[in-house]
Parts: sequence; structure tokens; C-alpha cells
Amino acid sequence: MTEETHEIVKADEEQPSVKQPTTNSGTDTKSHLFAIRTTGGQEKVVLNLLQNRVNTKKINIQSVLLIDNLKGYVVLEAIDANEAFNAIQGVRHIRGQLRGELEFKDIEGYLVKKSTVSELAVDKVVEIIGGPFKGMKATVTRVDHDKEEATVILLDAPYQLPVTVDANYLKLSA
Amino acid sequence: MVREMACRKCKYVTIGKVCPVCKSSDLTPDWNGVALIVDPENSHIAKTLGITQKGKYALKVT
Repeated sequence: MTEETHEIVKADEEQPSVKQPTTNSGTDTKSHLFAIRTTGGQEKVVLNLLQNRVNTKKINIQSVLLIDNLKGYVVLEAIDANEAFNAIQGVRHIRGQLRGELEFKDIEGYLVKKSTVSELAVDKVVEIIGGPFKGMKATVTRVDHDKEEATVILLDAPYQLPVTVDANYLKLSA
Repeated sequence: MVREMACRKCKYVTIGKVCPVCKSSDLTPDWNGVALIVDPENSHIAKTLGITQKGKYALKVT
């Protein structure tokens, strides 16, 4: 009798440990991010291959991210590491999966880019970081918030030369 | 090779002349970064980018 009760207690004890993974997977509707290592310069090819795979097979992933600053890697959003592994298995130019997962804050900066137009104001000194006037300094004379462009006067030019440039090509000068 | 263009309004990447998502014809070949959204309902990235339809989207459109 005592043995029986002991067994029952034992079974009760074991149950939570067995259930635990299922409860975890139940709350795991939240996706995780995995860094996938690719052959250098083949990130776009990998993305297209994954896109074809998504269209043809049933792959349980949420999204794939290709960030220009992250050379040699693509970011895969999946429910767990196994799903990520299944998705990339056999795909050409994929060299492996990094252990562990990425934090969302690691890639958030690439997704939500604060527009530089909001920082610009008339008479502020800016540096042009792109286009034909790259590297030159200028003062802002007009800001068009809708078109995200600004008219600036080049400081390096010998005479006043107003130029309208995309706000993304401007950086506030210290 | 067909040139992929990104919609300036919704950032959807397409090879057509009209965006199939927002029907806009304001497309640009100057874009970088790609987000391939497979499951927009459960994707954290899609929610952050405000994407509700699956497909290929540009991260930055100039």
C-alpha cells in the first residue's frame, strides 16, 4: 500500500517536468531571431532561395531579414531553433547557424530608422554624407518635411550656392 | 535581368510597374535591405515595420 502511494506521488512529481516543455511551447508563439551564416556576398541569393522554398514547401518561419550592414549573415525569424534549422537545411550558400539567438534590440536599429528631417532646422550646420557634394559642409536654409529634403548653402563654395538635397544625405555637424 | 523596384509608399518590392499591395505607381530602384515576410500575423519584425501582407519588402527606400 505504501509502495503504491509512493508510486502515485512519484508520478505526480514527474508530471510537471514532462509538462513543462509543452507549456513552454504554448507560450512560444513569440518568435525568435537566428543569425544564419552565408557565403560572403551570396546573401541575396540565399534570400531568393528561401523565398522559393517558402512558396513551394510548408516552412514554419515568420520572416527573413537581409541587412546590408550585416555581411555574410541573414536573420531568420522562427518559432524555435529546430524550425529555423529545418528551413535552412539543404539550401545552397548557407554555411551554418549561429548558436543561440539574436535579441530583437540588436536588429531594431536597422528596422526603425529615425528620419534625419526631424533633426534638421534652419541655420544649422550640416555635413553632406552622400551624392556629388559628399564631404562638404553646409548651412540649412529650408527644410521640406514632406519630401524629406532640405535646401542648403555650401560653405566650401566660394560663392553662395543653394542646393536641394535628400535629408538622408545630411548629418548634423558637431 | 529584371530590375526589382520598391514602392515608395509601402516598400513592397516588385518587378511590375504598379505596386500590387497599395496600387501605387511610385516605384524606385534605389532601395536596400530586405525583409521577407512569410507570416505577418506572428512576425515581430512585420509588426515593427507595420506590414500586414506577406511578401518581400525593402528596409530603406530612397
